[in-house]
Amino acid sequence: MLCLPGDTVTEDADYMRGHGTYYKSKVLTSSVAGCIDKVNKLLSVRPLRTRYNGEIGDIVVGRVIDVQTEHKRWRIDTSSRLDTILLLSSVNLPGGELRRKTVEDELMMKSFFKEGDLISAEVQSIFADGALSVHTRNLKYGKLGQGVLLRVSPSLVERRKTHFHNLPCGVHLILGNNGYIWISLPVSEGVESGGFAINLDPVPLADREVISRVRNCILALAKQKMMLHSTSINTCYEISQSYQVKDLIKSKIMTEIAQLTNEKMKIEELQ
Amino acid sequence: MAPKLRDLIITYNNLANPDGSALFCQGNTIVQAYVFGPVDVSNSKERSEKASLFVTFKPKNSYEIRKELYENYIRTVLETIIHLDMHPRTSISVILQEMQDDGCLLSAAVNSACCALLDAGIPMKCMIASVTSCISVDAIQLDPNKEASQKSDGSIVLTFESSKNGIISVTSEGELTFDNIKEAIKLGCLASKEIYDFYHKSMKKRFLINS
Repeated sequence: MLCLPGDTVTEDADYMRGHGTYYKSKVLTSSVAGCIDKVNKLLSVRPLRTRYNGEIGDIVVGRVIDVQTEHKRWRIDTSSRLDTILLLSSVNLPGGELRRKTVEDELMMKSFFKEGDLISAEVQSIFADGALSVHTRNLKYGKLGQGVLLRVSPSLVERRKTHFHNLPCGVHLILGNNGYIWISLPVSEGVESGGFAINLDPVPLADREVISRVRNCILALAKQKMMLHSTSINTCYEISQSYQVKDLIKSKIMTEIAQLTNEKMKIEELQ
Repeated sequence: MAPKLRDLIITYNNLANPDGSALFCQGNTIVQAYVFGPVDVSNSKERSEKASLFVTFKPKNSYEIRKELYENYIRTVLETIIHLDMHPRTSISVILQEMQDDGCLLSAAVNSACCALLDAGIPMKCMIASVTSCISVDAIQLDPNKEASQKSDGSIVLTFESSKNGIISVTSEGELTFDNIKEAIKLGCLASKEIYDFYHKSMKKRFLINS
C-alpha cells in the first residue's frame, strides 16, 4: 500500500515505530512516500527511491573524490548520504605486502588511488554519523580498469552472497549494493592484483558489443523496476539476442524484453 | 461555489542527476523543481544538530534579479515540514526553475518543491499545498492566470499542510479587507484538498504500474 507523508500508518498502539514513520499525537504517521513494510511488530515505510543506506559487508563500487594525505584517507562517492571514507590502513599495498603503513606510503597515496579512479570495496564499518568506511583488503577489490559503469537505483540490487559474477556471455559483472554496476571483461582466477596491474590493451569490438548489450539489458530491466541479479540479467541477455545492440535503447524494445524476461523467469520458477 | 483550479499535470523523476525531480504544471505556469540531498556539506555550512536547507529560485531569464522573497518564503515553509533533525551534518538543496509564468508562480513553486521532495524520499511531517487567490472589488478568483492577477487589486498566497489542513504560511499584496481574507481561506482550504488528492493519484500512477 502506498503512503504519502502525513498519512496515518496505523492507529493501533501495539506496533513499534520503524524508519520512515513518526508519532503525531500517538498516531503512527508516515514521513516519506513509500510502501509499508511490516516485520512482526515493527512497522516502517520504505521510500521507493532513496539514497544508498549502507550495511556492513555490502559490496560497493565508488569513485574517488579526493585524496586527503593529511588524514591518511580517500573520500569516495558511493551515492550514500555522506561521503564514504577509505582509510590508508584498510587498503592492500601493490604486490599484496602486509605491513604497517609508513610515512612513505602516505606520500605514495596518490599513486595507489587518485581522484576520478573507480574502485570496488566492501563496507567495513559505519561511523556514528552514518558515513561508511570501506576496505579493499582482498585481491577481489581495488581499482577498476577498463569497462562500463552504470548507475541504477540502489533498491534494485538485492543483498546476496556474491556480487561478483562471470556471466556465461563472457563479461565480468560487479553488482554494487549502492546501485553502481560495473561491467568489464572477465579477469582469470588467481591473477587478481587488487587493481594495481591494469590491462590497458584495446578491447576487441566483439567484446565491446557484448558489454554494451549487457549494459542495455540492465538498463531495460532497471527501467521496468525489475530486480537485478545474475539470473535476470542472463535471461534478459538471451532474450535480447533477437535485436541489434543499438536497437536495445529504444524504449519500446526495452519494455518488451523486460516483460519477456519477467514472464520467462516466472515460468522457470514454477518448474 | 466549488473552487476551480486550473489543470494540474506532473512528471516525476524527469532529470537523471538529482535525487528527486518534478516538473509541475498548473495551467500554463510551469516550474521544474529538483532536489539534491541529503548529501555531505562543506564545514562552513554544516550544522551539527540538523540538516541545512538551501532553496534557490531561478527566474526564466538569468539577467532578472533573484527573487529572494520567493526563496525565503519557500525555505521557511519547507523548514517547518521537513524532518531536518533526522539528517544532521548534511545539506538538502531545493532548486526551482521557472519555465513559464502565467500567474500563481509562487504557489506553483511551493507545490513543485513538495513533489520533488516526495520523489527524493526525504522524510516530511506532512505535505503542503499552496493556493493563490486574487481579489478585485467585487469578486475573489482562485488560481488566476497572469492577466487576471494583473487586473486585480490584491492577491493572497496561502500554504496549507495536509495533516490538519491548517495554514502554515500567508503572504499577500495589495489592499485586502478582513472579509476578503476569510473568503480566500475558505476557498483555499477546499482547493488544497484537491491538490492533496492530485499528489496521491500521481504518486500511485508513478509507482503502482498494475493499478
